[in-house]
Amino acid sequence: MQKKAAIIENPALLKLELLSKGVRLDKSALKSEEIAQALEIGNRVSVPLELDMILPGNVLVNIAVQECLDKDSCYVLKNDNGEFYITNGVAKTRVWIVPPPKFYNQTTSSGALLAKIGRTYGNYLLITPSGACEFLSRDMACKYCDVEAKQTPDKSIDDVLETVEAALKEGAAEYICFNIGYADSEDGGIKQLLPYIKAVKDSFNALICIQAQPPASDEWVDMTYAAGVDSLAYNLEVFDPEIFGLIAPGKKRLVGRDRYFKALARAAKVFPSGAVVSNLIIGLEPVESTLKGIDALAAFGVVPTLPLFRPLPNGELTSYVKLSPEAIAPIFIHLEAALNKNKLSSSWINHFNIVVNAIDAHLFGGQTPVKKNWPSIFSAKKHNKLALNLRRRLRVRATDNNEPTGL
Amino acid sequence: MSQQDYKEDRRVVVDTRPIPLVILAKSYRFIIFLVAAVLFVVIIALPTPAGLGVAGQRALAAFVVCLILWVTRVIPLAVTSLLAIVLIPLLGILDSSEAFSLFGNQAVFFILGAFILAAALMKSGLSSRMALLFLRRFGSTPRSLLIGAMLVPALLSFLMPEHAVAAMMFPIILEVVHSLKLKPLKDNYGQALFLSMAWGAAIGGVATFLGGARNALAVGILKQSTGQFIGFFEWTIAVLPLVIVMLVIAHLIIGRFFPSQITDVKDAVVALENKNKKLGKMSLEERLIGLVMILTILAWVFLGGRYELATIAILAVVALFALQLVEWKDLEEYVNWGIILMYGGAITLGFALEKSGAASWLAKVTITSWAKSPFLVVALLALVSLLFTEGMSNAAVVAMLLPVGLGIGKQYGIDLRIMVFAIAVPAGLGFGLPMGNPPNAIAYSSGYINPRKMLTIGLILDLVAWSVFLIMIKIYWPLINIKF
Ligand code: SF4
Repeated sequence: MQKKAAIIENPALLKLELLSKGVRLDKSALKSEEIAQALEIGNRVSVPLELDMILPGNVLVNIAVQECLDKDSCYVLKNDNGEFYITNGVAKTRVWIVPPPKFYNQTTSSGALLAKIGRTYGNYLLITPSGACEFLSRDMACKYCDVEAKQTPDKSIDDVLETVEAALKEGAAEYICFNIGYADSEDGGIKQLLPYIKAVKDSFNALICIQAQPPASDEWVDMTYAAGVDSLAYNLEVFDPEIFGLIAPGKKRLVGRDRYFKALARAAKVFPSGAVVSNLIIGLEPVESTLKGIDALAAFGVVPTLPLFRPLPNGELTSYVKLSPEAIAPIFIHLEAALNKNKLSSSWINHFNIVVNAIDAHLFGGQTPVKKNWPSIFSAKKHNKLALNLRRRLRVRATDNNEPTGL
Repeated sequence: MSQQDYKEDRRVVVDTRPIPLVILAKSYRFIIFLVAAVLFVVIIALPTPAGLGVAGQRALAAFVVCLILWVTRVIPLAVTSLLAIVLIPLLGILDSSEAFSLFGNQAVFFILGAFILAAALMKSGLSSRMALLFLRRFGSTPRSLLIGAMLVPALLSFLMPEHAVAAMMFPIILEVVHSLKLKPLKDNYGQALFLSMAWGAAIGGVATFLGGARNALAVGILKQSTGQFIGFFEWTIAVLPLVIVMLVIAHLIIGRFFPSQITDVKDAVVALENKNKKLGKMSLEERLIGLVMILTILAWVFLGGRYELATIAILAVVALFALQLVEWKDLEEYVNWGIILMYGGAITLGFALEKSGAASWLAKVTITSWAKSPFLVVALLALVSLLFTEGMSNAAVVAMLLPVGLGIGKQYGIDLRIMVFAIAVPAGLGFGLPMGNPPNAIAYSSGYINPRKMLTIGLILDLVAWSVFLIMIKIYWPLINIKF
């Protein structure tokens, strides 16, 4: 009982719980406008319903709405006269529902629903321009891969630009994040993103992040930065070499674990401090291994992002043991210490709501959460675009290859 | 460069050094222009020193600016040369018609002819047959190939002008480098081969009167002004040890600074064999090009005294066109106009320095204020000649410095033959800059040589050459009866 109450009272622990277990909607919640809007969007886009929510202390979380798998620890969202609460039957806490962005309901000039082109997560607009991934086509898909979601049709540059414009206009996103699968070429797949990056950079003064697989040569890491990317993720997912091969066979066989480290190390030198991140999924490997991974990545200058493993409904990894929030919390405390030790800022991921970050993590220590209103949270720390662009202008230069011999 | 300038086909690198260093590096061009401009203004504004006219002072200012721009390459070498051509009339050093006409120097046309002859050899495939012969003879290992690339031009330069040797060897080395699939600027071995060729030809060129016009010119000036003479063999006996030592040292230095990244050259032999197989039997066109080439080389060797080398080269080019062996569009990709502009401008500037009296004033001032003994006079004169030759034509250095040197030599009671060697020999040994001599320019036109490395290693070799020359004066020459 006490333990359940303690979890509800600590927003960081609650975020962990909600991330891994999701939330069930009470009838009262279904009556609210915000939920109705979210449901409608979910139906139109045909993806499972997810809710963006602010927990006390400005802790931002993206929660899957699903039926309770574990009857003993269910979280239910209730609406009491327009105020939302989350309860686990023992205690309850006030939460704020972030209404889905309005642009979701708009359509592009070609008739595509904007919500199908890009989705916001915190202040990130995530766009997957193409579902192509050679791990999938070669039967080496990552075990956690949401294959169905990946089978999306390619998105045109015009549709992407209209979506970005709408999201920026509404203030629903600050970062435009592109996601791309693996291509068995020197660039590792990044080349496919370049026209989109260029189009967005040419049209908007937006910050761009990408999630991709490491290219075969460091030259492409440099080219990625030169192309206008501000933050980059090469996701390792697990640190343990053996489990890495089991969980991500394509990554192991076609890219190689070493290449992840080398490319991340180069990227950490090339990109601004804290702008290079890599996922280590909590729950897919022993905690000690995750801790070692955090130390190794942070030592390279890479910010580890620690999503919790959420088994896919019919996925291969449903049998994985879920860790309790008390077991997970020390990992985040370790993360915060590792970031401090290596003087790394987590500002690039602070508002990425599907991971727990250092800002959340300090709440594990029991600090009093400060309440702030949506969307003032996002303006807490903005990256200076002018400074970032100036940095790029200074640092990027043509290679000796192209340097004329002086004739 | 910003992302807006980013192009997929453009390779980029991100400078990861601390930002202050990056900013300093980015301001490099601006700083260089500023330094050049300040020095220019200061030299012009200073009171004109005794013994130097206003034109000479201005020529020195133009020279300093061009030297800074050539060495730092903040603008293309060829563009700096164009600047030199316009600065000279602008500053009133020479009138504009004279300044522009100097561009039509025979060395410039010799290089143009050499490029066209090389283009014909390469286009016909004859160069790949020659390269295969060369590789079979010398290419048992990368090292032996490097030795061959230096020794063959060096020995040929004993018999014919070094320009001609470089022109002849250039297509062969280029073919070898292509067959080894070496990347321009990146691969050490490609740079090593071209520098071996250029430096081998230059070093060999000082051994006899046939290697370069400057040697004969120097002896001619000596005879005219003093009646003394240096015979063909006397010259060679005096200089040969230096040539041998310098060839060995140059080879070692190239090996040290350009460690080979390839372990054997068999692939190149196979590639050339395949290419030659595809070419089939030697065509009539190839035979005719070969004949024109042989006749040209013979003319360079036997008629070089009577006619300019450039005249022979251009006549050979005309013969190629008359026999319809090449077409103009075939040549366009081979003729490196940048090198031609660069060389023309450098020659014009060298002439302006000479004609305005700036060069001889500089030499006199340096030597009379520093030289305290006959040996120091010779040492300084050799150094001045070596440094001047990096930016001026070899023959111009001799024509300009030798009268000064002979005057100083008489004053100090030095054997005047020593003064001739001290000026003419170093004048052939400029290794650092493409405009140092035609072999350097021809090798540089390949696009394989990193100019910064060429300058650094070339200057080291310049100093080594100077030291070896001085040791030779002290130890060897007394043995053959050349004494102070
Ligand atoms: S990289 Fe892995 S997770 Fe991403 S699309 Fe390919 S298989 Fe799926």
